Amino acid sequence: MKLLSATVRNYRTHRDKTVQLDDDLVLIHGPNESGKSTLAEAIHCALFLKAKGSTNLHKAMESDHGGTPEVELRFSAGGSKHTLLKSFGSSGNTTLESDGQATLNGSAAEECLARLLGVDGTVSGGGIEAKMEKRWGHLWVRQGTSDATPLESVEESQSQLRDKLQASSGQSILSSPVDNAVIDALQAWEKDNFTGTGKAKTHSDLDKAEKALASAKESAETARDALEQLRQAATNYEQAEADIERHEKNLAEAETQLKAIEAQLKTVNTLREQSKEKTRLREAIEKELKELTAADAEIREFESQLKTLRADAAPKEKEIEKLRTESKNKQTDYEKARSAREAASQSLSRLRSIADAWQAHCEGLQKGKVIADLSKQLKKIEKLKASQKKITKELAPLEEFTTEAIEELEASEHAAKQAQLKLEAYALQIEVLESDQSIEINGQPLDKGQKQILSRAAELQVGSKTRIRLTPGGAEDLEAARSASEEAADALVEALKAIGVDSVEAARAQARQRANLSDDLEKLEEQLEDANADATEEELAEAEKALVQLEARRHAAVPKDESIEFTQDLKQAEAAYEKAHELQAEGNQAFAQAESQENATRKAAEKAAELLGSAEEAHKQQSEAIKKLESQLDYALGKAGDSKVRSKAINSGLANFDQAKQAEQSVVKQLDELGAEQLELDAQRLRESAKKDADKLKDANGRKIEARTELRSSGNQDPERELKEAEADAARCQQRFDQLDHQSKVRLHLLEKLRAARQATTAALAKPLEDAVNPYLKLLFGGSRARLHWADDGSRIESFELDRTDKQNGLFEFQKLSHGTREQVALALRLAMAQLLAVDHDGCLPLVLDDAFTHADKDRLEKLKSLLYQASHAGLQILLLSCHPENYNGLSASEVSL
Amino acid sequence: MKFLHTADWQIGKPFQSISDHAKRESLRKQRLDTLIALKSLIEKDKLDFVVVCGDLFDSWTPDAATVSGLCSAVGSLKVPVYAIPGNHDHGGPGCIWEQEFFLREKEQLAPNFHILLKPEPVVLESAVLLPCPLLRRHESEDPTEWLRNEPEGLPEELPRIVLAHGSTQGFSSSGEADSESGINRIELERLPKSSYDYIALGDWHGMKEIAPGAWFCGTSEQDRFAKGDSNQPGHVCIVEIENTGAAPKVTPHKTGTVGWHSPDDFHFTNDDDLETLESQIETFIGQQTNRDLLKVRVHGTLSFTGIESFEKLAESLRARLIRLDLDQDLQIEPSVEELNALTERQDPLIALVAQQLRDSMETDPLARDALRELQLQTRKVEA
Repeated sequence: MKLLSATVRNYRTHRDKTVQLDDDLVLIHGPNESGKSTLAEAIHCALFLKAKGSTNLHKAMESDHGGTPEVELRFSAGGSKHTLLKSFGSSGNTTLESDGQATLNGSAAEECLARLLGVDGTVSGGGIEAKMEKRWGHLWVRQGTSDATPLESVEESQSQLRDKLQASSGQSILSSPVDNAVIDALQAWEKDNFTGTGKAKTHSDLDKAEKALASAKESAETARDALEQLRQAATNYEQAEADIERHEKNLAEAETQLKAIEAQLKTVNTLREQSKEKTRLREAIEKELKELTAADAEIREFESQLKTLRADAAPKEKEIEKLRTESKNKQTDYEKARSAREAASQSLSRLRSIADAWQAHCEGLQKGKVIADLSKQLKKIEKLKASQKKITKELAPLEEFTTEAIEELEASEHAAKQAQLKLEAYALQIEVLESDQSIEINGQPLDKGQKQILSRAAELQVGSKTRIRLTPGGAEDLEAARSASEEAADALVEALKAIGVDSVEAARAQARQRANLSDDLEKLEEQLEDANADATEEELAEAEKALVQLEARRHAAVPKDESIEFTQDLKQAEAAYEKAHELQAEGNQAFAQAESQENATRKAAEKAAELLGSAEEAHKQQSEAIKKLESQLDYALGKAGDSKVRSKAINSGLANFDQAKQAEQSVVKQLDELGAEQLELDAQRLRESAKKDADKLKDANGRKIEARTELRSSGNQDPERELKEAEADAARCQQRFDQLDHQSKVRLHLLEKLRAARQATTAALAKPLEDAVNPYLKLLFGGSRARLHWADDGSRIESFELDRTDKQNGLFEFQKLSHGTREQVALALRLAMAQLLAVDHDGCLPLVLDDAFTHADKDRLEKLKSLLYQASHAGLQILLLSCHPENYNGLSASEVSL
Repeated sequence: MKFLHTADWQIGKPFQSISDHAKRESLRKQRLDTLIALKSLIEKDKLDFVVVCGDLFDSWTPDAATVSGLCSAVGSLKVPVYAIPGNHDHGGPGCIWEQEFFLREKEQLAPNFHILLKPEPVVLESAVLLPCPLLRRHESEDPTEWLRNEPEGLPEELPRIVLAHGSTQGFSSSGEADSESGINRIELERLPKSSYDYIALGDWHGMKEIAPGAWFCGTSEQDRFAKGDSNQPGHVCIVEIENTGAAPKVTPHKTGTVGWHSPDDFHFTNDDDLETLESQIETFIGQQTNRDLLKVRVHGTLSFTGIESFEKLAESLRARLIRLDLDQDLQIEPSVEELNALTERQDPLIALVAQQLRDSMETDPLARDALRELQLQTRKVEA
């Protein structure tokens, strides 16, 4: 279906306006209030609104110009062209002329029109505005709605769209009413019985069954406990009875046994008294005997020890005597060695003095030689000093003739010559070669052949009227040169005068003489420095002082009883010193030997003395021990008597002891035979046992009474039966619960399968539309994808999501997109739907965009234009209404200006 | 001399497996009615007395109403009734036999009732009773042990009747040989045969002479599904002993009225077998209601229709029978038509899911039930 032209008459602002629309892209533009939206609305009403009527819409069409609102529309549809004329109002009419067909009027025309447009009749009746908005709502984008989702406005064409999608996807219808009813029934059951997390809802059958099961189990447990308590009471009763019987028997037995044992224990007590007495007696004898034996043993021990000590002491005295002699000998050896060491010491001292005297003498001779050399050196220095004095005197008057002074003089001389030469160059020579008039220079006439050199400005008068001013070299410079020449000459004279010579040459001669004398003086000073006059004098003084000290040392070193002839020859003296030194070395050796000998003998003497001391000390101690033992022995003997007395006493004690012991053992034997200890233990055991049995008997009686009370039945109930019934109840509850649980699982399983099937079907059905949208989205966003979701019952496409996961951005619901993006996405979706639906309309459907994208930025507009252009190429007719035609530059749309 | 030998009345048995309380109660009452009905037999055969060999009560702690019921029934028999306690109503501490309310009811309702709690001879006018009472639930000693040597001083001229309760080789109350082996075991072979004329036994619920002169009389009213055919529960024995040493003449008499049916396992090869099962059941219960109990195990496969019919049958039986003990191991195997009816539906989702479930029947344990649920839900929606 394609719009070709529209004529609007008496329609609001339009009196009579025709626009050509026979292009794929038409831009209708004009300023605000120029009637663009009215035109779009008029076309829409012509297509869908019942002509006859007086609804608000009809009334709103009326024009200030008067007359019946009319729209004449030419369009192609169903393979041919048609002209539609609709006049609106209470007497409105429709005429439809189709190529090669009879003209239709009224409702026949409207019916035919509806068929051609594939809609369900014309729109009329109440709620007309809303109805009209829905009609081709996805193709008619009114002002301010370009960002709304077309999923709502496609409502009327939903079933056509679904047919197209089913045809494209090869999918049969989504779901049947029975499918949906079964799913609804199962979902309702699920909602009634389960919470969102899949748990059974309170008061649902499953929940009730579960609670009943828990309650039944609890009842069974209670019944089991009650019965068990009763059974336990029966067991306790039996146990108590058995215990009572056992303890009564035990008690009787224990009493009988105890009586017999107590009779025997009386005899035991009598024997015990006897036993005590016998033991006391035996112990007294035993004590006395022990004392006797101990005293005897002590005496024997003393005697034995004395014998050993004495035998040990005898050889020790001889040994001490031998040590004493040895010690004395060693002391004598030591005295001798000490005397020898003292003699060697004296001899060495004398030899050391003599050697020292010779050493001092040699050094004195050497020092004398040094003193002679130093005196000679001093005389030479005196001579050099006299020469130095003389040259210094000669040099004094020539002091000013330095190289710098001569150079200055030469510079002054050169400057004077230069100044003179310059002056001469400036001068002007005037010569009169021929003249018929008088010539004067500065009033001074100059005659023929006369010359005059002018060095300064002068006036030349030729005749009486000619005066010429001559300025040689530029006047002032000549004056300066003259003055400079004179100053330079004066300066030279002044310089010569200052140093007292007549000429520069004379000054140069004087300077040469000064240089020669200076060289000589320098050489002399070097020699003097080398001679080091001060040090030489100092050395000489020190040498003389050392010589005096050496002579004093030699004198002191010579032993008093010795007379030595000291030669003045150094070599002889040195030989004598060598000799004396050798003698001293020999003396040293002799002394060391004597000293070593002394040490060795001293140590031997000390050791011998030490050995002697120890031996004597040991001997002393031994003697004291012997004395002490002797005293102790004496005391013991005094007390216990000699061995005979002691032996007799001991033998008598032994006999007494044996007798007492036999008497004691006899009584013990009788007690043993009676088993006294065992009897006592048994008696104790039986008494304790009887007490315990009595306690236990009491306890058992108590338990018996308690159990009997518990076992006494009121007859109100039968615990055994109650348990059986409660257990059977619990089993039935379990069975009921299992059945319901299984049934629930089966139903949920089925529901899940049905849901999955529906989900798969709707997903497949959405795909052709998604495939149609995706190229547009790629154009807009460079790659996002559409995700369309059908309502569970397959009645409509419920939602749209923009899948931007390719850019790691996730899924976005349409409503959460920005305004600009919504506009773009909505247009893409409209175009895709129109494309699919256009199949039933000769491959073409108009898409009207009234004042859309007014806020889109340039970048978005460019993309939208590409989108529109591509859609027009895909067969759609795009009508753009805008007051900003410049926004659509480059779209290649045909334009209609209002 | 003639007497009635009975045992294992188990009055007060709860029949807890029956969910319907009224049915439970009627079954309990029937046990007492059967006792009361013995009166005509006693009168007709002019019996001297009745011996009851244990388990008169089901529990050792019966409630007062049960006690009164039993005392009333015993009292109605008029002749002396001698009883020993069995393992269910043993004579241990706290037992019913020494409870005050029992003693009171016995005195008032059944002065002819004698409960023998001691293993000692009871000399009657026409016979000597040798009771072997159980004094605890599980007695490890043989209760007849005291009779292994003939008690001294027994009158020679009177027939000697042993009353005992317990299992013997091959026969026990649970019906299984050697169950609870060693507990309440009676070793008959150790008793001197010539010393006793008749050994009246209780515990096993079937009726049988297990040794010459030694009889289990069984329970007078069946109380459980019998194992095997030779049990003959629901009887009492009329015993006649002409004189000491003569073989006793024993005549079983049927007393049971309730039908306890436990046919062999039933296998469904297909839905047609349902009819066979129905006719089999009809042979047991006919058209009557509330008189029978049925225990059956069914297995095999049924289609959706088959399982539905089976469920309806089970529903009817549950209503008609006192109890239906159904052990069901049925595989739902929808028929090709039933499957096609789902998979070829015009409803795309139902058809698709039905196909998926059909294809996963071997791997998805819930698939068959889910298919059936789908069929039921679809039917419900379309109804």
